[in-house]
Amino acid sequence: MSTPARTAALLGLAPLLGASDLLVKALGLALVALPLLAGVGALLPWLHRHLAGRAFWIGTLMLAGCGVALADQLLRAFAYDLHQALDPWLWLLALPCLHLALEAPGRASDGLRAGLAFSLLALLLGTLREGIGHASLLAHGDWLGLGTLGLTFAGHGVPLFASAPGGLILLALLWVPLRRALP
Amino acid sequence: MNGRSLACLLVAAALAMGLLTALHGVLAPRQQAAAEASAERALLDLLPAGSYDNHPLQDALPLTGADDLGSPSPATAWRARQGERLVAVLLPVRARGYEGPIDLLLAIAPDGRLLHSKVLAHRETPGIGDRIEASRSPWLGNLAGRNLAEQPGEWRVRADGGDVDQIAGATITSRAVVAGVQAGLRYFDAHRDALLGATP
Repeated sequence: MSTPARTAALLGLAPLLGASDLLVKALGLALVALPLLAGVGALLPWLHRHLAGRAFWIGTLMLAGCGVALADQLLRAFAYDLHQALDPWLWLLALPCLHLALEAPGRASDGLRAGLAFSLLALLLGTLREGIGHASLLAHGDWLGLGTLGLTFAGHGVPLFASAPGGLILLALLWVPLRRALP
Repeated sequence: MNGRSLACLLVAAALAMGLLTALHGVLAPRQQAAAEASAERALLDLLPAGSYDNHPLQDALPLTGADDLGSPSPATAWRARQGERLVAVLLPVRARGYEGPIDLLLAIAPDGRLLHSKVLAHRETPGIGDRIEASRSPWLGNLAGRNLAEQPGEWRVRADGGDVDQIAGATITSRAVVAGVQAGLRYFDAHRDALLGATP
């Protein structure tokens, strides 16, 4: 991985860590990231054919920005509370798109794979962080019309894991087994 | 960047902007309604769900003499109703806290009893004074059910010889909130007819 690609991948973790403290937020993030990354990934080879150099990067940025703006509009209309909870992080989903573009020009399905990996990681982190950090699962499920599915466990949870540093620790612990499991 | 790429990008940007603007135009009324419903839910969570069936934020009443509440004028009260029956008057109060103003919202029953109260905004010390927030400590809930007919001692914190437990380390904040709630109930008693009368 080149240095800019590594930087973009690292920055792409920001929305993952920022918005995965509750499972419902992670679910919202996954629902946006999967079609976004798949769509951007599918269009990237086409963009590569028609644009080169600086124009390619401007085009990629525009594409990612448009995708996120679209998701922003839809969430604001159909899941307003979730939109408010995801607010700054939603826009940072453009960063994993940039990471996708920075990797060597690949196949159209690379986006789908990246989207699946991102979404699964978000759901995994969301489940663990809410379970350990808040001692609940799918609290605020009504944000996505899943109001009756919420669970609460006994105890108060470990607040560290609900905050970003705890998320980083969990991610680090998950990294090695995940790298082995995923090709 | 050659001229052809630039033209392509400009056309794509114009198209994208047009599409997003059109989408926004279609969704704007729905977004507006969702934002209002969310604001209403957030503001009204101090009333039990199902205890009212009107839209209290639309049943607004401009307040006269709001200086007594410490609130910046023009201040507004809202009324929650179940059918024809008035359930609660929502009164904004601004108390003078330790670090700055504490904005409270009181839900007062028609008989002058405090149903519930919540903190809308404050600048109190994180970890100490912010325990007036319902999400951090149940302290504020202890004031619910009180009315002005109680003994004066029941409206003072323990540090002042009263009956209300103050938040440890945040006596000034606690005192300010108790005084603010009391000022709100006094205002309610003084303006009772205006607040309970006038249907929209």
